[in-house]
Amino acid sequence: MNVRLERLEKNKVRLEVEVEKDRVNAAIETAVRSLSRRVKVPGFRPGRVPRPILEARLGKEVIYDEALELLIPEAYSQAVEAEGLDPIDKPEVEVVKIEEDQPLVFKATVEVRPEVKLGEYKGLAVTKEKIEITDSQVDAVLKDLQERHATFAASEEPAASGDLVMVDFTATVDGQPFEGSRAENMPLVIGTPGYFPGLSQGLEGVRKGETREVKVSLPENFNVREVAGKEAVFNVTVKEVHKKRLAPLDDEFAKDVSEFGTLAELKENIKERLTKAAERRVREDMENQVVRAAVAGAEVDVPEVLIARRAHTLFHNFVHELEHRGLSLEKYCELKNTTPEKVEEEFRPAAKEQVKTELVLDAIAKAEALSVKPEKLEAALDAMAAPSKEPEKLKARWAENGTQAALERSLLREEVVSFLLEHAKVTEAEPGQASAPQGEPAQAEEKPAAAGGE
Amino acid sequence: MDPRDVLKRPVITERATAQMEQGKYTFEVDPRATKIDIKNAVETIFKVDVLKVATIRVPGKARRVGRHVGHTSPWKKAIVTIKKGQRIPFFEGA
Repeated sequence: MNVRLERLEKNKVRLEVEVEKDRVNAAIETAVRSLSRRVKVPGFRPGRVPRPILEARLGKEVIYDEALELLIPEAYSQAVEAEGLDPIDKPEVEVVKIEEDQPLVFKATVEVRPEVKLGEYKGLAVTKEKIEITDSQVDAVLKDLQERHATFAASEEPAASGDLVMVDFTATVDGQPFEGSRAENMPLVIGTPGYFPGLSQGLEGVRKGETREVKVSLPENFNVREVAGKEAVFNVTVKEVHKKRLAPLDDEFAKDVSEFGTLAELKENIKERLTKAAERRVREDMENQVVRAAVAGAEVDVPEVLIARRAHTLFHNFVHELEHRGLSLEKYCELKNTTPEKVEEEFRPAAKEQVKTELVLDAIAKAEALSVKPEKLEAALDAMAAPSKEPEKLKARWAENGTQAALERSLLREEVVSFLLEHAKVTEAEPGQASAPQGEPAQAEEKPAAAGGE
Repeated sequence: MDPRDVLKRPVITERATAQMEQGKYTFEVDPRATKIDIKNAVETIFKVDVLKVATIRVPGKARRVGRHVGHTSPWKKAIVTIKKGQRIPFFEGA
């Protein structure tokens, strides 16, 4: 086999491949055999049709096409391998010449993985936010726990904020009742928004048995269209008042709400959890910083195909998410006054950034000869397959269908990020000073909604 | 008989194709044609030397379409052996 390589503009490569005539003849023979099995010719059993008859019936071109189908993919992938290319798209193939007893010549044009000109990626400056968990943060968590474990007890006292009341009411707008304007035994927590915003606030201080008139401005987006934005008068009878009782913060409380025996232990545990969460956040933030810096320092001509493909994926996910929230794409477009094409278009910048990030990370992995340890990959696969009934079968399928390869790639990128972080120059910063836009760039989710859906 | 009316079409089947290797070519011929007619026709049209002609009357076969019984036409088949080394090129209409 003979391969000539020609580099075209923009990461494109043209291969001119010449395949020996022996291989061509063999392929033609195979093609004839397989066609003979598929084509129905009266007077012949399937697979018994001789070549001259086939040629007369179908024409030489059909046989050649069939042979090319066999030859080209094989020859192409051999050529790609021989030249050490890394294609990222399907090739455009043009057959120059095919004839029996002659070498086959074809040209394949394909886009290859672009070269990444890496900038400086060791010793990147990173700020590390200092982690400080204050007592007030711990107390806030405790308070929240306290609220969640609050008990209510019937009482004759006036209701204060946070207390629970059971009420009957009838409401009117301009003297007329409306849909949902009557209720009996409705529980309300004083001071919370609830279904009728303002109603529970207006009931502060009521006692059991009291009747009170409360004026409520119904919100503009109220469910019942006719009365939205209007003022309603609620005639409320309070049937019961339940005082909220917060358990005192002591060892008893700790025992009730957690597996710890003393309040001190619970506090310690809360602090620990907060610290861990903060550490994770700080680490993520630092990862984002190095990745962004490394990507910014690198020069890549991001190929159009990859951007388009990724934009499409993002678009797809977005549509999925919409549907998950019970919104169809058509409806969304109507609301935003846009078209699906435009929505997809708006994902392009994010897609480009993601692709660039991946290309850069991959290039660093290559430059530093980083790799994923087989045990690590195996462990990740096991973890992913564990919920299945037949984990081994599933894993075998993943090995086939590229899931394993994709997982390996993403693990490798994680390795690169760790590598970058290890070699970064870290400076500590006071809390809140480090640059901290959220979200990993590689997975940054920029919705068109946020990007302005004009 | 006029040679052009004798030979109707070549018979192209697995068997007939296989026999070509032995110089035996199969035709559908006019049922009224004799072996002599066939020999003359093949020799004049294809310019080959005929050594032997074997003829077979192929009976029409009963075919039914739903409730109706019909039959295919009977025809005459001729297997013509020609001189070794000679060929009749006919793959035009299978």
